[in-house]
Order: sequence, then C-alpha cells, then structure tokens
Amino acid sequence: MTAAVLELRGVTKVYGAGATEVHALTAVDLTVQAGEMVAVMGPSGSGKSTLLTIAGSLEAPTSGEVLVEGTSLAGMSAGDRARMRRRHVGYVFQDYNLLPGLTVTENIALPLELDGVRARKAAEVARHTLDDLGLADHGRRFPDELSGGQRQRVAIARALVGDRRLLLADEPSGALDTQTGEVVMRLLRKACNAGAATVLATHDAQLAAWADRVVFVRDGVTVDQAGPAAGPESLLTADTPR
Amino acid sequence: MNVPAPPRPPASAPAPVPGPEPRHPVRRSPAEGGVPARRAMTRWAWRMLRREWRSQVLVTLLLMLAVGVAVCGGTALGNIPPPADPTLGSADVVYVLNGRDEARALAADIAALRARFGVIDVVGHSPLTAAGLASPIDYRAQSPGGTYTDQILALTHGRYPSGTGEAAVTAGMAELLDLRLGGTVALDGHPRTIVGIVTNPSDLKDDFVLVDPAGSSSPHTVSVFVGGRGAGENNEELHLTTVTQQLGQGPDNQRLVIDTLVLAAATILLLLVAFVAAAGFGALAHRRLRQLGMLAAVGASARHVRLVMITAGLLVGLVGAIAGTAAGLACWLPAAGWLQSATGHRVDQSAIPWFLVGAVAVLAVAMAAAAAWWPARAVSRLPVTLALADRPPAPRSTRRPAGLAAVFFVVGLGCLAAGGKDTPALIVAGTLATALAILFAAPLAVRLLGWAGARAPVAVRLALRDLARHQARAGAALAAISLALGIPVAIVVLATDIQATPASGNLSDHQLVVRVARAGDPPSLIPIHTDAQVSELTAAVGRMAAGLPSPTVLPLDMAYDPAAPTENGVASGEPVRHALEFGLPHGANTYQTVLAYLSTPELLRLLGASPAGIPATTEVITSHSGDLVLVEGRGIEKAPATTVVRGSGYTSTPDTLLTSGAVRRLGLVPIRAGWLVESARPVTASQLAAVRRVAAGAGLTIEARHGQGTVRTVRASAAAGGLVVALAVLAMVVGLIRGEGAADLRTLTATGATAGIRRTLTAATAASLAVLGVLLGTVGAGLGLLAVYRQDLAVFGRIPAVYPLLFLLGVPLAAVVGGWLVAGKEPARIARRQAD
Repeated sequence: MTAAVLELRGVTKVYGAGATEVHALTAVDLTVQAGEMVAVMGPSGSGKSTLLTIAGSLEAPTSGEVLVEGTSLAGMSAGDRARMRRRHVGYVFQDYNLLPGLTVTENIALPLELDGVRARKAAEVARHTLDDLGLADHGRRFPDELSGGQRQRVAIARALVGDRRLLLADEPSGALDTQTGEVVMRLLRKACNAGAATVLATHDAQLAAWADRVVFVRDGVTVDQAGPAAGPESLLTADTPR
Repeated sequence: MNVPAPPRPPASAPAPVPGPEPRHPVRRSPAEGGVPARRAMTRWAWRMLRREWRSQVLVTLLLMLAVGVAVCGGTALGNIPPPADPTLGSADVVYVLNGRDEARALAADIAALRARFGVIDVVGHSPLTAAGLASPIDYRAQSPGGTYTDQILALTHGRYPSGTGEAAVTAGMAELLDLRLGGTVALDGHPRTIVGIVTNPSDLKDDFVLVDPAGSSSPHTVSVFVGGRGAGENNEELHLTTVTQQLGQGPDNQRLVIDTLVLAAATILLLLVAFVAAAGFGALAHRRLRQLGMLAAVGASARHVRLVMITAGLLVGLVGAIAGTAAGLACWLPAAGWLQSATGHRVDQSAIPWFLVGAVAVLAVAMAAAAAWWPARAVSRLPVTLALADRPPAPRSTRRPAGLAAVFFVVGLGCLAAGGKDTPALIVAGTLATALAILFAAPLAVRLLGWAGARAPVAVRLALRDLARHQARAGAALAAISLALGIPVAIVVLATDIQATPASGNLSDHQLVVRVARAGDPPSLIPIHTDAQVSELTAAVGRMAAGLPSPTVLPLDMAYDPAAPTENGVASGEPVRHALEFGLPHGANTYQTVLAYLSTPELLRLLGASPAGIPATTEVITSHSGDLVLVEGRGIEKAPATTVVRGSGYTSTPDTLLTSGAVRRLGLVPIRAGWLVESARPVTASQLAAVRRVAAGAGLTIEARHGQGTVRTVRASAAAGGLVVALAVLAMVVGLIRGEGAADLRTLTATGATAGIRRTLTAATAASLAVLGVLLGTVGAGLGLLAVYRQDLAVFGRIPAVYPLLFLLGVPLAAVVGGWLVAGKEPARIARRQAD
C-alpha cells in the first residue's frame, strides 16, 4: 500500500477557553493518498477551513497528529514548517491572495525563490507552469490586470510549482462564476491525475462531485464519508471477492 | 445553470503512481533561501513602496527635515568657534609687555623672546580716546601675514598701511567714527590717510585702527606671539623685565565637544522621527497584513516577513537621508552669512564637517530601519491564520512598559540632576532616558484615556477606544508629539537662562548707558554742571533716544558729599564731584568699586524688586551679596542697612541704590550722572553710530553692547518649529488611525451618522493625542529642567508667559480645530471595502 501523502489522526482544535471555548474540530481522522482528491463538505462554521489550515501547518492542532508525506508536524519549528510549505504543500485560497506588487511569473516563482532558487531559474520554472495552465501570455502582467478566473489559475500554478505533493484548496471557485469555476476544477483534477494529493474544502455539491471521495463535516466532527460511485464493470474485476 | 458532470476515470484506470518525478529539477539552498530569498523579499518591498509611496511621504518628509536640520545645524554649530582665538591667533602663548617703560628694556625683552623661540610676531597696542565713546580705540601696529597672527588680521578693501602717514580701519570703526577710504584719522594727533578696510576674521566685532609698525610711535603695550615647545615655561630663564601678562591656550577639545553635542542632538531628533516612523510602518504592516500572511502561507519564514518591512524602512531612510543631506547643505549656504554676523567671526561656507554629515545620514537610515523593525517583528509573530483573516493582534498588557517607563524616568532625572549645566554627556544621557521613559509611558497613557472616556458621547468614546485599540501605534506617535513639544520647552528655558546671563558683563543688546563723566574718567567723577546745562544734556539724550524704536529714558542720579572738596578729572582735568561709592571686599585689603545710584521706582523694577518689598529701614538696595563698605572720603566703614535683591545680572546697569532716607541721613546731594536708555529692539550698529555722534557733540559718553538678539530669535524659532512638527506628527497619526477606522466610518455613515459625528470623531482623536502629548512633553521636559536648574529656579519665572500658553492651550486648540475642519467628508465607498 502506498504511503499516504496526508494523514490526520484524532485531530482536535479548540479556540478560546472557559465560556468562550469553541471546538472547531473534534477527533478528526483523514487520510489522503497520492493522486486522490478528497472534498471536505459542510456548512459555514463546520470546521472545513480549520481542517485545511491544520493540514497545511498554518495552525497547530490542540491534540492529535498531522503527518505530511509520513513526517509528523508535531514539534516542528516555525522554520521547518515554513520549509515544508515551500516544498511540499500548495495552498489555494478563495480570494487568490496574490501579491499585487509582483508579476504573474514572480508570484508563481515566489515559493522557489524563498527556497533559494535563483530568480532566473525560478522564473523559468514558473513560465513552464504557466504554459501548462495556458497562461503563457500573462507572465509579465500584474494580478490587478487579470480576471478572477485568471488570478485563481495563477494561484493554482503557484501552489503547484515545484512539484508539490499536497494541494489544499479552500473554496477555490467560491468567488468565480460557474464556467470559470469549472475551468479551475479541471486544473485541480489534472494535478491530481498527475499524482498530487488534493483536499478541497467546499460547501458546493457540484464542486464536490469532482472529488474521488467526499468527507462531510458538521460542528467539527466528521459525520459521513462517500466514495465515487463504482461503474458496472467493477463486478467483473479479478480482485472482487465472490 | 447546470455544471456538466466531471469526467469519471475509467474503472480499470491504473493506480496513481506514488510520486511523480520532478519535471523541472531545481537546486535549493539548505537554509532559509539565502540570497535569492532575500532578493525576492527586497524586490517586493521596493515594489510595495513604489505603489504606496503616498503613505510614506510624511514619514520621509519628517526624516528629511530631521536630517536637514541636523546637517545645517551641526555645520553651523561646528562653525561657531572662531577659526582661531581672536586674541592669541594660533600662538601657544602671548607675552604682554609694558611699552611705556624704557624702550631699551622693551627691546631687550623682545630680543630675548626671539632668541628663545625663533619666530615671533610683535603687535603694538595704543588705546586712544575718541569723542563720545566711553571705551578707548585701539591703535594697533601689526604686520600682515604673521606666523601666529595671520588669522586675526585680514584685508577686505584697499591695502595695508605703509609708513607713518597711512592707516587702515575696521568697517565697524569706520561707521562709528564716520571714516571712509581716502579719509583721514588722527586720534593720536598724527593725521593718517585711510588706505584700507581690515578685519579680525576671528572676531568681526574687534574694532581697531591698523598702523604700520614701522610708522608708529611707542605703543602702550606690546603683545609678543610665540609658539612651539616650551612656550610659557621656564620664564625665569628669559629674564623678562617688562612682562605684565602671559596669555595661553588650553587643550582645544571644543570641536570634539561640539561634534559630540551635535551627534547627540541629531540622535534625539532622529529618535523623534523614528517614533513617528514606527507609527507609519505599523500602519503599513497592518494594511499589508493579509499579504504578509499569504507570504507565510507559501513558505516565507518569520525572517523573510521581517525583511520585507525592514527593507521598506531602509528605503525610506535612504531617501530621507539623501534628500535631507542635500536640503541641509543647501540651507547652510545662506545660513553661513547669518552665522557670520551672529558669531562675529568669519565663517567659511566650505567648512562642512563631512564626517558628522555622514554620521547623521547613516543614523537616519538606521533609525528608519529600526522603526520598521518593531512592527515587522510584531507581524512576523502573528499566527498565519490571523494575518490571512486580516485581524490585528489584541492589545497587550501595559504593565511592563509602565515599569520600564518609571525606571527610565528615574535614570533620566538622575543623570540630568547630576550633570547640571556643565556635563554634556550626562545631559545627553538624561535626555535620551527621559525620551525613552515617555515612549514607554505613552501606551499606558492612551489606555487610561480610553478608560476615562467610558461615559463620553459615542463619537468621543469611539475615538478614545480606537486609540486604545491601536495603542502601540498611538503610543509611538504620542512619544513623538511629546518629544516634539519637550525639545522646544527645553530650548525656551535654556534661551531664557542665556538671555539673563551676561556673557562679558555689561548691558543687554537693547540698552545704552549715557554718562556725564568724561571719556577716560571713572563714572563716579561727575563734571559740575548748572541746571541749564543739565537740561541741555537731557535734551541731547532725548535726541539720541529719538532714533531708537520705542525708547525709554531713565535718569541716573548719584549723590555726593557737599563737604568734600572738588577734584580734578583723571583724564579731563576739569573740576568734578566724586560721587559716593561702595566697596565690595575682594581679597585682603582689596575692594571692588560698586557705583551707587539714587533709588527710583523704575530702577527698583530693573533690579527685580518692588517698593512694597523693601523694609522701611533699608538705606541701600543691592544685588551684591557680601558686606558693602563705604570707602571714599570716610575711611572704611560698614554700609548702612542693606537689602539684597535679585538684580538684572548686567554689570553696567545700576545694581546698588541709595534710598532717599540714606541720602538725607548722610547729608548727601543728588547729582545727575547719566541716563539709561532702553530700546524696544536690539540697537543696531548704525543706530549706535548716530547716538555716538550726538553724544560726542554734547560731551557725553555712551556704553553699549551687541549680539543678544539672536537668543530671542532662537527661542521663538524653536517654539515655532516644535509646534509645527508636533502638529504635523499629530496630523499624520490622526490620518493613519482614522484611515484604519475607515470601516467604522462606513458603518457609522450607513447607520445614519451625520458629518458632525464624523468631525467629532477626528477632532476627539486629535485633541486626545494633543492633550496627552502636551502633558507628557511639558511634564517630562519640565521635570528634567527642574533637575538641571534646581539651584536657580528663578529662570522659570523669567519665561515670557506667551510660551506656556502656546504649548498648553495652543496645541490642543489647534488640534481640535484642525481635526474638526478636515474631517466630515462622507466616505466614497460605503458598501464595499477597497480591493487590493
């Protein structure tokens, strides 16, 4: 069995204390394999975004363990966590979060440059990524010159650059129209098919339909999971027990 | 609209590979990205600054102003000492020889000095009286280009005199005696043609008539300038018989002291700007919170995040330093001319202390970077999720900063008390410690204000709560405002002290003393005049005063014993009355002469006393402490009942008065001795020359003083400058804080708040900071000055009332009015936030 890219074991997250205590997550277990897309669904305030921030080492869990590519995040220093985000984890935000002062190419190359790759080489890699995403003509533009869909594609490119294995997307098409949202989801799916593990937080069932598996979260607790519907040929596969 | 179902992978799709091979292999640095990462952060910081340069304009301008003031002011201070000692030139020792004794002895002494020291310069001095002037004119026999005297004689027009029939005069002498090139001067009885205008570059107020040493008669004194090892030592071996005085120079550490003081003053000034810059960079960090959070999310370390902000600080500092240095040097060019007239010696425009200028520029860049470091540190420590959510951290406890404030305050006051007015190092340390105390006390002051406004109307309450919410930024700004007000408070007190303290002890720059005594006679030898003659003299004084702005003329009467015989004037030889004088013991059997005038209410006021405060039994009112004795004509006897008062501090204004009771009891008779003329403004050289002409015509002599007007100008300029800087800082901080509260403003407007509420919000913010700044600044500076002046608290009573009023009332009032007028406009966008 292949090692999971992401594992959450009994992860709990509590904010505040006493009367103001909020249980954002309670004993959540989640495993995501390479090439798998998992959608985390739930209403607002259910803990979807918290799950992603903990998975992406942006926050530490109150209890439980998080492993990325077999490495536990517990006890990691802030510098180690930053290095892990540069090299292994790609984050896609709902509101793109591109730096307005950098060009498209520079935004994509940013994680590489932060990791010590020389600017010219980083830009070259970024341009290849732009080519893959069909944004080759926009490399010299600034984010405020792009449409919402283009910005999100650039954000995905930044998350993918450097061949990261774990992609975390928090409502990636929440600010986009339906047609553009589909384009974004195709890109994420393509990345998954190329071998990345993807966790997608969404409240939209149509977006969740792109995933291989859907995890339902309510009030910080995993309440249900659903896998992809099997096709009619599955009954005739050799591995199926009779 | 239906989203088409995504394509499902076929059932027999192969299992995904464990991990793809990297398509674009790259070489990464092992640590935190090294140079490429720093370059990326620097690039983004530069781009950010270019996009948002408007938000940093005020900080940059303030930095530029501070650097400009430090460069121009430092260069001016460095040029205050004259190029050489005005009396000694560049000599190590000057021997003053008596020229009136035997010429042979004088020549022998000069030869001995030449043999001992090799190269010497010889200058002869002959004091000669001129009509209308109390002080004699110096006829100076000096050769130009002397080894040691080169820097105390220079030619400005014409040529140097040669032979017995020529002379050169200084410009001041020419104006005073109505002389010009080609004219004639004959104060020594020998007519000489004026062939040149000369000056003493080290003392432009040194007025003299220059004659050729070869063409002059025996001088009264001869100054011999010598230098080199052994100058001033082993004088017994020289066997000098005519030496009356030996002048020498101590080690010259004046420039080092000045450079140290300038750097310290620049540090304090830049500290002020750093406080303001910290507020500005804090606002910048807050505006960029989400972007900095995103940087962290993609893998930037805390050091990378800090580097972004510190780079912005460095860039702002660099721009401010370069522009400020250029502005300071540009201001120095015209300032050099003003300084020349203020200091009274030649000032070279190219004499710029480049090391000091460089140090100030480096300090400015460092301070700006330091100001950016604090908010950078705060942001880098913020949890990434909070930064991404654009939520600033909650205000932290103010207990530790308050404790530090108390410690720094105690240290600061201790240093100032120990240093007094004499120890620059302790004064600087005390000032810096007090400034830091204000910085640490400021957040607590802001929070206390927030609590105090709990029951205020909603707009005021909101303004005070916003200040408390942004207490770090408001605290830094409050410290800047306090410092901006505290510095001019200190300068006002210092200038008041200097103004009341005579430098060389005669008069203030707006006073003249007109004496009846003849030139060359002591002031107590009064020529005998009829009443009609006294009336004529009084009319002449009136004509003198008419040329001065808003003059006041106070008659000065002395008293004489009618039983004492008349005497003959020492210089004039005419019959005179010897007015009563006192003696002040000055060593064994030695007395310093103290002139006594008849008391009048105006002269009492001059001494800082009122008639009601003088006991009825007092016969002598004096500012001298010590036992006055009567000497003249009566032997030595203790003075009658005496009351000691403050005095004006000037030695040529009346400082000892006789009451009418004393005059009656001692059987004295009043006699007009002179007049004290006071002008509303400093007496100029041309006014003085006109007064001298009238005095000469009437047989009177005048005494005057120049040069103190600059103190009043400095005091007023410092107060104005401090107020402008404080109000500018206030305006910037209020703009920053209200800008951060733009969302609140939108909510208020959408809820129905009127322009009055919006105006009240801004006015309350401005007024709160202004009041706190005034309190902290004046209290901090005041306590520090109390420590310095604890032995001379009277200086605080001499501060013109306009300054406390301006600081305590004017600043808050200006803040309220400004805040009210500037605010009120409805926000452009109510429904939406401005996108990045």
